[in-house]
Amino acid sequence: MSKIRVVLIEDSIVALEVLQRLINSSGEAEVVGAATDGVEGLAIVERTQPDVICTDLQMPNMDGLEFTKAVMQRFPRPVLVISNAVHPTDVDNIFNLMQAGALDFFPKPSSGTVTDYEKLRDILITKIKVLASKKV
Amino acid sequence: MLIEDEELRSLYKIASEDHIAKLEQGLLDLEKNPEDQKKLEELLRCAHSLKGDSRMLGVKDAETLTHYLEDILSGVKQGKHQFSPTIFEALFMGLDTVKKIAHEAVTGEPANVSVFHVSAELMAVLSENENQQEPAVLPEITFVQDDQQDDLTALLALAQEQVEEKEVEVKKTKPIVTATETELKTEQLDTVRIELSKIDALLQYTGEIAVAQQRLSKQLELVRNLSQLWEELITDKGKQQELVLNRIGEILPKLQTNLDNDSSKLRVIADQLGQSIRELQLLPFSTIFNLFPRTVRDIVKSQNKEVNFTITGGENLVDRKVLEEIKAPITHLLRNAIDHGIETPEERIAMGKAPTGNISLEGKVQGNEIIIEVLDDGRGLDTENIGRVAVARGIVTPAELALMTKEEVQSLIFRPGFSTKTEVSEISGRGVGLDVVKDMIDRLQGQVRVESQIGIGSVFRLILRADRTITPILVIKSGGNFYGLPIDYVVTSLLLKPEEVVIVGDRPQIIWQGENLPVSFLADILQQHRNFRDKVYPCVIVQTNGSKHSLIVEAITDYQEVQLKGGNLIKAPQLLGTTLLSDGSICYMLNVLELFGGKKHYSFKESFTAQEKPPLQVLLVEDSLPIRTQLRRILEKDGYTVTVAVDGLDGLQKFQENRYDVIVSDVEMPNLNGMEMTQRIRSANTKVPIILVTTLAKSQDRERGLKAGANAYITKGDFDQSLLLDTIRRLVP
Repeated sequence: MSKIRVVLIEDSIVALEVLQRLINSSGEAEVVGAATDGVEGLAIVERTQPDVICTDLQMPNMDGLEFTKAVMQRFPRPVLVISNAVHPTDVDNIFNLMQAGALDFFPKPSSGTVTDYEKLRDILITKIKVLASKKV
Repeated sequence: MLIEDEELRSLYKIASEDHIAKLEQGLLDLEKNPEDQKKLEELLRCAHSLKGDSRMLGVKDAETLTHYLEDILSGVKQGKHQFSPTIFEALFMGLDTVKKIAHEAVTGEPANVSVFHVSAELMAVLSENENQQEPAVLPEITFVQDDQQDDLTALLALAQEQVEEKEVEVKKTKPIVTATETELKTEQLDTVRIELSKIDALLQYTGEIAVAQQRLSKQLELVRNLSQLWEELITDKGKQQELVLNRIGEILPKLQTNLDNDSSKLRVIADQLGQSIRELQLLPFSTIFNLFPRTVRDIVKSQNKEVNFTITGGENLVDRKVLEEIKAPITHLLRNAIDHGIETPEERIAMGKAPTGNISLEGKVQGNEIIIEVLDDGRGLDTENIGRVAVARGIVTPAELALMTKEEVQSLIFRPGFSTKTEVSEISGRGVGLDVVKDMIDRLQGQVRVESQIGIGSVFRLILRADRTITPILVIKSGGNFYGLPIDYVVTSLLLKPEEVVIVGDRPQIIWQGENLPVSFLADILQQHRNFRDKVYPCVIVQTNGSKHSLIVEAITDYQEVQLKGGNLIKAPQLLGTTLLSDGSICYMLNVLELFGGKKHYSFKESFTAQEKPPLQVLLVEDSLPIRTQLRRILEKDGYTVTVAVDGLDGLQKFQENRYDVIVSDVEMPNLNGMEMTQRIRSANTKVPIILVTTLAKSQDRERGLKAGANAYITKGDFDQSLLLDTIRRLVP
């Protein structure tokens, strides 16, 4: 079975690296493109036509919300939002995102033991698999 | 803690440095314009990102503190607090601590900070500015893991105790942990971003090199041909000699031309390649300039002064190695400007100035020079006072002081020993006087200058070479070795006659272009035996820091561009290092600044009284102007006094008018040729040595010349100046 193709939109280079490792090490999904803001992200999605998109919320130029709206408009596919929703203002955002079409949420990984890491990876991959099966 | 994974570590380094820099600059901007909502939003995002990254890689302390910073900023945004000096102090202090923690996460060097105390301070600010009694509860909807939750609760509990105590006190006291001075880290300069187009250009050069190399190997074929022909020549004597010789004659010029062209071409490519690579590592001044606003702010705050700090020229590109090395000197100059330059607001008002002082940092690149200026509109230098202090401290004698220009007196502040420890204030006093600045810049072969007007302000100027790898030097000889003088310091070179050097007091001097310049012998400075070819002193006039000095050397050999090899020759402070000349010989680079400084002058009186004989008189007879000029130069350089004549008749006439020690003459001349002139002179005078220098190369000509009475016959074909000079020396008693 071919690997699920994922595009990551995330402005933190640290987070990008960690997420890439999580996804690529699973064997079931692979990162085929990455961008650090929504504008770049749209271009990459258009080019790579992934199965699932994982996006951050706070990004320069075009944030996660706008990006999700744009993706749903132009090349709809499952969107997974990766964020920590720390501030109260973000709660509103979550609802907006769901309205815009985002399907699920995943917290940004924080470092822990190896088992934590693996658990995290499994959760993420499961979510991705679920999303990949959805028709949008 | 140290981030274990190398790649993650370097990503964190880049990200955290970026975020922290933005936060710092942002806070400085907000301090000036607290109403800037946009900036506030930006900072919030920065803090948020930094927090996320720290959390992801387990840099918990950074996460915690950044969270507090985020809270404070968010509180201001929501109108719960207002910006105040206390809040800014806390924010800067928090940021400094985060900086140290991030540094530890990236390098492993311990941060030595008390996260607990810093957290408490930040929390205190949060609650102090609110009207509630309870300490601020952190509003969160987080996916927080259990143990983290526990930590937070525990911290909250502890902090709560602290805060209750401090509630009343906070308004009066300053924060426990004051904003420590920002250390300017050097890590940011170890990588550089290069545009891909520049790499393409470089690749082109490598292509051209390949082409040039191929052409050279073709020339090799020609050389092989020549070798073969030569072989034929020596094994096959007589038979077809002329044919073979002709062939050789055809190939040689071709080879020469080709090699000439190819080597020029190669030289051009090498130069361009070198230039391009050097340009790759150019960085803008802003790379280090951006670190200064924070430093200036901290110092200004601690002295209760008001300063407006501007930076210009940040976009100008400079070699990164230079950038590295000027950080410290500029920091010291800025400290100095604030400390000693800018007056307190009260003083300024009393003087009719605006209460806010102005300090400006400018970076320029002009040709091969990098110029950095620190300007202030503060007190300025009291030239008279400086002179007095310098004399009192024994740095100069009153006599020397009297001879100094205003600029030279002001430059005395750079001398070691000028400012004592007790005067130097706390900030400026950490092993940093202006003499240290000068020292640092000297080591870079640069210069420090100051221009100042009392009551108005001062400008401190740093001047550095842009390209320090290849230096043009003047090659001189002394004691059998070659030494190099960087052209930057050389004003001119000339030949001195011993009688031009006069002793004033105990020190030798010369007069050059109306100035009195002190004189030193390089041989003496290097403790070598003086060795002079007879009657001239080759002399180089050097200029360092505004004062000129004449240096007498054994010979001035050449002008070359060389690559400085480093090496601190510790035992020989007069030497900077070594380099290789184009012929492979080793050349020692002279440290011009060490040659004259503070050295006792040797007593030259004795050596000068042993006067040499008066210079020898040469009559030079030659009708061709260029040859005449060249020969004259050669002779004068060797110490002879030359009189010229333009043909045999003229020569004869001049000979009758004056006494000459030797005659050097051409043969083929109008009116009266050299042979005839010789005969005529010989009929009256058999003693004076006559040397014929001519193009007539056949042996018969030589015989005729000698028969006419010449002592020596030199053909221009095998002309060699040392041959001529040796011949003269041989012939003149």
